[in-house]
Amino acid sequence: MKEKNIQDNANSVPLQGLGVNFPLGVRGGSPIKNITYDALVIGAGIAGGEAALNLANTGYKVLVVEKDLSVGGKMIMLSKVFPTLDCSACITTPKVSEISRHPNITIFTESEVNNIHRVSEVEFVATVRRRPRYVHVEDCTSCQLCEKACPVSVTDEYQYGLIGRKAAFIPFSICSPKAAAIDIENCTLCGACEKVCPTNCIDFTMQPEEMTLHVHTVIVATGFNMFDPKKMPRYGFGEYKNVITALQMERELAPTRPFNTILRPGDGKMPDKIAYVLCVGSRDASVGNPICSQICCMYSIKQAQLLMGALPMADVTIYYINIRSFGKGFEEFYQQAKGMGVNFVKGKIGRIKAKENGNLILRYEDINEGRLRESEHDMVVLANGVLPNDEVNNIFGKEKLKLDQFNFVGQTDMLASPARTSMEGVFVAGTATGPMDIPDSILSAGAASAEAISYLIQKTV
Amino acid sequence: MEKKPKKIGVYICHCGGNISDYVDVEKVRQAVEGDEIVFLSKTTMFACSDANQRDMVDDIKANGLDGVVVASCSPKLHLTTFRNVSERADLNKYTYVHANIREQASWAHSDNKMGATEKAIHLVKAAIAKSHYAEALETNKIKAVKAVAVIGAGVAGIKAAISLAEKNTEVVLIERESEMGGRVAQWGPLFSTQETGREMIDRLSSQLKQHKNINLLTNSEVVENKGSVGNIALKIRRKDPETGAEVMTEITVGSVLMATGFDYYTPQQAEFGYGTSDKVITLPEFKKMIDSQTGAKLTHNGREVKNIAYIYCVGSRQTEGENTYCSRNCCTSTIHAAVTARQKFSHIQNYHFNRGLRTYGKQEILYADSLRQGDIYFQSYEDGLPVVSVEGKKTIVKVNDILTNNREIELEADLVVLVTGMVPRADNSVGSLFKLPKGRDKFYNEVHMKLRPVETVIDGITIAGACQGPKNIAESVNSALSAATKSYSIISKGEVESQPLVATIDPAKCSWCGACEEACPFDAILKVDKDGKTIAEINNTVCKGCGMCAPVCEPDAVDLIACSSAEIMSMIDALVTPNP
Amino acid sequence: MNKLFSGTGSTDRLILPLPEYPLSHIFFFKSENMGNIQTNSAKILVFSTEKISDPAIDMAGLLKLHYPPTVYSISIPCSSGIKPSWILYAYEKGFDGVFIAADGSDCVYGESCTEKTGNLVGKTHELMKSKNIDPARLRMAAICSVCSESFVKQMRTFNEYLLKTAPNQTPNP
Repeated sequence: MKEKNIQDNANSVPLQGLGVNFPLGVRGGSPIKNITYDALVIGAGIAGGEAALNLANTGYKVLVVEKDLSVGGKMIMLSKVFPTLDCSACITTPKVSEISRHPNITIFTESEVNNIHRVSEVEFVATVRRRPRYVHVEDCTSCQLCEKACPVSVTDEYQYGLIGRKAAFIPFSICSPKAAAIDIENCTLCGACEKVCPTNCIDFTMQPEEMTLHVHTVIVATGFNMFDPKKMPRYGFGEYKNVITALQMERELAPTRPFNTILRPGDGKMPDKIAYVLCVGSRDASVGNPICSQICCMYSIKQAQLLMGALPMADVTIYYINIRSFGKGFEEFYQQAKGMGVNFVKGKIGRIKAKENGNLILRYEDINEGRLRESEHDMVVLANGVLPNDEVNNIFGKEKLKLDQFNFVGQTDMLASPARTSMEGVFVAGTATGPMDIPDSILSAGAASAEAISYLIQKTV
Repeated sequence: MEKKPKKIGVYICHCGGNISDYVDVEKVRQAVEGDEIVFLSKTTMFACSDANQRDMVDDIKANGLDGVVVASCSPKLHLTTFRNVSERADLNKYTYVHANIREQASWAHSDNKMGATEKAIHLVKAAIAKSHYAEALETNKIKAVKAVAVIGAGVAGIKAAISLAEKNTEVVLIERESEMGGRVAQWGPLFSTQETGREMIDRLSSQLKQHKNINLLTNSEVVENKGSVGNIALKIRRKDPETGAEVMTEITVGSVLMATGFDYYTPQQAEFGYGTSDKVITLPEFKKMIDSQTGAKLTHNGREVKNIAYIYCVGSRQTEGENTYCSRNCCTSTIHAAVTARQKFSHIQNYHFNRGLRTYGKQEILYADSLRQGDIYFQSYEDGLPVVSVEGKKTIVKVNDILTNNREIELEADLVVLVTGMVPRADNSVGSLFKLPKGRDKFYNEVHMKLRPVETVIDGITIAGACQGPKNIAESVNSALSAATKSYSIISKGEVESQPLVATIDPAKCSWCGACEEACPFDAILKVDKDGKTIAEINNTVCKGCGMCAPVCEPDAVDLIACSSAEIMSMIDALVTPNP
Repeated sequence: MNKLFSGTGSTDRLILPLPEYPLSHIFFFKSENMGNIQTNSAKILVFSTEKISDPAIDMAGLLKLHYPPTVYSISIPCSSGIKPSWILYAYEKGFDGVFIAADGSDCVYGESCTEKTGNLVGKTHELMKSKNIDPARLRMAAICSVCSESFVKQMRTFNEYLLKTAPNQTPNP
């Protein structure tokens, strides 16, 4: 299997007997040239995954390129999803599994696309660069012996910095492909992992690969970034340990959570008075993001409900400007949270200061009472907003994809064909066009794949 | 149905904690591991994860298992997932049996962990009992007609029809009205584009007309629905607009895409002065008014309009009425109408009596624009809604505004616009024809908001646009295109699998009495002569497996595959036998 | 010391503290609050339907609307396909009550479902009388696909009735 060349694989996807579409870590593999896929999907989050599946189920060969070590995007890291409180992993992992083994889908993880350029009316050429993982995925059994042997501890970005991980590590428990990777930046090249690896799958000789591929159509599903609350020093994120972001809380609540309970990072105390600060980096022209992020109200209400379940004695207060529970079942979900005893306070937080015991003093304008007030909480969650993923700019060659005024991918016929972009044959799916929740991302991916399929039928033979 | 010796694997899912927080999954495993047919039993963090699916395939192959039981969430979510796992391990997918220990044990009894665990044990034992009988079944392939009926030619229906036509699919677009375009065609300027609603519809309909494979039937309604996915026979009544004569057309399609849209909420008599003051109108009426008036001044009933009060959430977010949901697009729609009105009639002043604005996403910019333009916003909670009163010739709107410390605001309005939201269509005849289930909000319901957002529980029927819930144009189009993709994927292969879970007749017990024939709603029972005896026989391609024929059979000769008496009774045994 | 595994059973996850992280704070185990099994609930067999009443029962779980844990449902395609012999068998084996969560007018197999389900209930009632079984131990109600609250209410009142009257009510183990 190790000698199997990627080229075979791209023609006869997937690797026989392996049953997975991750043709990576080929020893002595040669760069692929002149392989044509019907569609290139950039980004393997929920939108990219959905679009890829729609295309693949219609019989088209799809290449999915993901920059991360795992497919699944942000959704796979979430706890439960609003307003049904289904567990996020229960929805994501089967989709991930379907994508991973679909006979018409090839996935490149730890890879980036650049210099996409049109070579004919219905053909683009793309350069895909794959970073070495230093592990042969098809041989890794995810036994974790390398993780145990590795002497280097660093902050775990997959747990949003809540805990540490090793430099030889499995990204997270439900990642796909489920295989170790070496964090070469932090690795000391001590060789401990190599020695303990029972399948001999760690390979420090792996080189970056660069491939040139031909595709007929492109779906951009590059997702979003979260606003960095360090840009608003008055909220004390980064300075006070008990001020965390919503995604960190998401990890504390997730089934695969790091601590098995909720605790504040400053001292490990179980919090009993938690505050949510909404619109952090959204609806705020002073930080360059005047638009509403559309999801923060609902994820905060969801987390508040989960917290009430996990810590029955805790008080949860949500400081808001407007609660935007606009989707199907959302308003009822908001009313349910009120009924459970979540406090909703209409007021914008001005400043957060820490006390010596780690508790936090929130200074805010209470709109109902029309005056400035202060309140003490022992943990603060910042509901930080959605920002465009500016890496879209690096993907295309000379002909650039037009962005809108907020730097999301521009929709040239926003109402009648929301998936169309400024480039013919390039479609956009999910949060690459702007903030949206999971159901809307999935519908948007459905639209992008509908347009791509039509395009392929109309333009190619 | 015979009980056969078997060797099965049982997997009990933690569901990350959704199950294991309340159900002792290890105890469940131990309780079933001793069963005679259970060859291996495991607990797993996420049964549906790729890693576990692969383990299952390996287990089945390595141990030669001939059946699998997974105890996890509702079969609505992952029955298909695990049937596919079985298939990948070269087992027939109908040998798979599912147990729902999340929705029906851990969550339903999260107040009683021991009770939930006991119940989970019983449910898994019942599934194992059923597994004894679960046989390999062959699916019939039915030829699928490569055509889709799209019902409703509003923006969602039109876009879905075009998208399907582009995919070389025959489309029958059925519209009740005399023209296509639905609600959008009646709208003037739209938010975020330079087009009016009319112009957008005209553009789309000229695109639509380029497709020869779209057959547009206006003045038409579906009156009969027969058959099933792949072969759905519809009877369409078409009214000649001139003569009034009715013509019946019959078509056969592989899938039906519903895009029947919404109604506007109609305020009750005297609700915020509606009907009691002639100055009170609804948002759709207001939009028509500003589109149609061309003078320098906006007038209503011959009087100039200066102060306009917009009262939000009329018929939505009700605390007392049935419509508890937020109607999603009315905030933006109102602000857009107000901004448009002010640009056209510069002398007017807009006052927005809202309950917290929901201009989500990029629509926020519109709200900022309206503030810049000088619109004034008052806000109240659900317990302090604005009051509209008529005092002589004056119409007064009063509210305690929470944005200014609950100050009482009183406004004499020249016009009061009630922001009425979207409600489900009052006429649900076409929905009932297809037996489409509705959600708590009475809009049509999807199977699963995230996993199967445009499919319904009725195979082959997809839903799009605002018939599923309030949506703006772009959201409706996204859902329409998604539904088109789904309908297309159902029929594009040219065949669909019929499900083999049909009725069976025991010829030894049957001596034709005709009771089953009478009970069958699908004419699936045939009267045949076999070995000199007249008996009933099932037409497998027509039988839908409802089982209506089973209880009426006096000699008990009818059984439903996968729901036979032997299976049901063995499950009852498993459910009542006390756990050790 | 680094070989710490998280507690929820994410057994494959190796947990490492951050270098500066106080180890003693990594783990907390919530004291498990095991509810007492209710010994006073009747055994109820529910016949539910795959497309209509099952979703309602599932949603009751999702909304954590609690009902007695000795309520078990067997899912079938349509309520008009239930054989009276199954119901009688359930009583014979020890169920206190049987509840038919009928499709009602929502049935995907046609309108005749309501009448046919009614007929089989009538027939079963006759059989129950002849066997000296209280006919009230069989109940039927139409449960639409979102009728979760109505389902839970039905289960609670049926349970109360059965506890009061069922002659062969035996305490659960």
